[in-house]
Amino acid sequence: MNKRRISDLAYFGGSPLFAKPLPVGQFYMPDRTEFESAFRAILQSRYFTNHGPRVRELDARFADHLGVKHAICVTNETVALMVAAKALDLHGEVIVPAYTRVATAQALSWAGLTPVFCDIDMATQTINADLVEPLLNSQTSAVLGVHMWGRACDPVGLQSLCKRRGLSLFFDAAHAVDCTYSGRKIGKFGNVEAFSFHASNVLNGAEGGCLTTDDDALAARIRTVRNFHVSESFSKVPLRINGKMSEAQASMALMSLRSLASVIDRNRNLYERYRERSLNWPGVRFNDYASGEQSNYQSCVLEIEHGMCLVSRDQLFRVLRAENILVRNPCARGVHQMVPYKALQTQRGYSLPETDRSCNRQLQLPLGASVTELVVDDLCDVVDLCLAKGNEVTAAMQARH
Amino acid sequence: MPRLQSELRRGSGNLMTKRDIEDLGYFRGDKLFGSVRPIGQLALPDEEMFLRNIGLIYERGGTVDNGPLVEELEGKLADLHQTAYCVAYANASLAIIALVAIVADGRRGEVVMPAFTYAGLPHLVQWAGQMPCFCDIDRITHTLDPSAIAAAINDRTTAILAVHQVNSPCMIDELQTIATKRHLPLIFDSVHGIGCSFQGRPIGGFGLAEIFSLHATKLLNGFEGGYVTTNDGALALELRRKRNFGGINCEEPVTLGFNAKLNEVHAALALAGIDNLDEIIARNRLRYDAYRREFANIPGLRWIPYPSSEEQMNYEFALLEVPPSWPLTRDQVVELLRGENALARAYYSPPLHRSVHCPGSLIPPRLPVTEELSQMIIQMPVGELLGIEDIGQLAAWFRFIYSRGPAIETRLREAMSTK
Repeated sequence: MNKRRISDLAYFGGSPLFAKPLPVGQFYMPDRTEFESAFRAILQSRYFTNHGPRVRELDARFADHLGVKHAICVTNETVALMVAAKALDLHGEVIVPAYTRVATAQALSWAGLTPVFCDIDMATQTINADLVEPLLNSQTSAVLGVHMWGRACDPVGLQSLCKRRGLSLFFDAAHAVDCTYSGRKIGKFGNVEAFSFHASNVLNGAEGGCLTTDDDALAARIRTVRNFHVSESFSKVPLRINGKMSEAQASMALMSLRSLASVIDRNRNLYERYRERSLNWPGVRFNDYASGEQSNYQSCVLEIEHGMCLVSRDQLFRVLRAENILVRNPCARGVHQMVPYKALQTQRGYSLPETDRSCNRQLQLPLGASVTELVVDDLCDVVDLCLAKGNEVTAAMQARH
Repeated sequence: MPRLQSELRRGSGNLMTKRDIEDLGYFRGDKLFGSVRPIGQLALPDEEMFLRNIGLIYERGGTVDNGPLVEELEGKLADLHQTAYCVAYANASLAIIALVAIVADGRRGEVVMPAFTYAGLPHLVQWAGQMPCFCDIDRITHTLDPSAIAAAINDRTTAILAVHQVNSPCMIDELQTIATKRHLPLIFDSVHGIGCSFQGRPIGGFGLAEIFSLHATKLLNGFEGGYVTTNDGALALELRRKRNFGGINCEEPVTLGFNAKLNEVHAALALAGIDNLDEIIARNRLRYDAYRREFANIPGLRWIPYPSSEEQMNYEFALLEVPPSWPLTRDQVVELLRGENALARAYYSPPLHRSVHCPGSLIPPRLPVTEELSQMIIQMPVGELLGIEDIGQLAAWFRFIYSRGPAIETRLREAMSTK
């Protein structure tokens, strides 16, 4: 990194630090030779989809990996949540955080349910039993927690609350493959948990989702909901869908599962490197979601304290984007402020101050296959420069607008 | 054509040597086929082209949402169907949910549809907030009877969802007239319409939009997958939003969406097969002709005909009608076939309004034609795993069970009572 002055920054006319855009997600692909031989075998077997041998193997291996009785793979994680809602036979309202990806709430809407948005705890950035309880009423049938960044969503507190109030409990565990709570792997909490195997997550099936549960009857219902076929009908369910994962997705996910430990090690190095470098940044807090637990370290999330940092989150966002670093506002706004939930918000008068605060100050940095320690250092040098010359950056940006 | 012939000849080589009813696979005999003869296409793409496409994914550093391979596939499919737009989906089911939700536009109502079709349809319209309204079909085309839908439409109707059958497209002109007159969107489930034409135009450009499948059992194999064709630009944009959480290009959602993206690995396979469609159809035609030829002198059986007009058909299925006068029932024949590793199926039976797929709150209507047809037809093995010789063996097998009909019937009843 040889940028010394702010005029060296791409935003102000310098050449971008990276020639190719650097994405935020994981995007670890299997070894190419391994991929090719796996796919030649799939073509040769002519088994492409419909509960094939690779999907069954993945179901078994992932269940084994998490130490849970049933893992049931589906098309993607949004479909997984839709399937879970029907398999649980939910109705009425479901409590859900607004600090999440919009798909969490969308899955509930497609299942005919009304999401009721709950604020998050400042320390964990998840909902918890104390925040959820006041929102419960006679219409509530379930709580859908989100293990945001892989940090567990008060599973014990929510379990006891839901048990006491006769509610279903399920979790969006999209980020949480191989994360723990009190040393126990996520995957066995609540009635069922939903994982994502999207390429941007640590376990890559191109697209993919998986539901995990210890409940035999619920597993039978999930398996029935995810397809229409008579030979895969195990229970009476309110509605069904084609949520089948293909042999291609399963094959990729199986390869990814085999290299998971080494990928997580790699992630951890990058995560720690970011953490060390961020210690020098006044007003910037590294979101250490992994602290004290096992994690997959798949995300690097900064919190830019407004007024404490010499540049704003949005300024930093623009500067890094110009360098071809595709940083993201992971949750630009709480889901409660998005279409179609905005209408509900006016009606219900939500006030979710912690959600708003988190949304407004976060910045997600690249961490994945195309990031090396050198890339982290170069990227952090840009942040160093921005922060060192914060006043100049601010003035120059204001002059441009 | 010679190459196709030789490809088709690689069969199992098993000869139909059954002499006694105990030789039937269902009882104690060896199965007629050492491996399964399915009812799906299971086409193999050009393997090297598939791996080249995968190479492009690697060069770009991994799969991309709605990425270049998906876009390329959409372009080729729009060309194939001669439509302005094609929007790819993770599967046809998710495409139908999105499309029905868009046309219903927030209203909760009913969708007019046939009951002589795919088990998924009544579920999918419910995901989109609608109830199915089952209508009867035409005896010849097996597609929605225009007079039946005209009678069924009411002020709760939000759409007409018509299904092209493999043996015939819908009566499109009549349906469109009704749809226009009643101000209703007409959409087609065209899963069996790829490679087919109506009045010389490819299926895909009719009604408001048409839905196709890239499922491996269909002509164009993308593992799992689906797509919608339309000439309506606003609808295409809305479909792109729906499949991508309600917004495109990282925009915040402007509508209720979900994840229904087709992934690039699936797109890579479909792209490697799309140039082979004509060959696939030619092979299907050879199999279908062989069925007709080999079964010609078996009394009572009838193949559901493909129209002999100028229209293009894809010959995807071989549908065999077993009359009530036959010595064995349709369902008995299906059971016996499955005992031989011929994975035949009772065609659309039971019909949806009489099945577990009918919503519990719905009083099943009387659909006389649907009910009659649903008791008569066998969906016979087809596709790339069925050789021409296999068809000769199946014909010999049918002659055998025909000649021993009453004895088999008695034996089947014994087997049932001991089970």
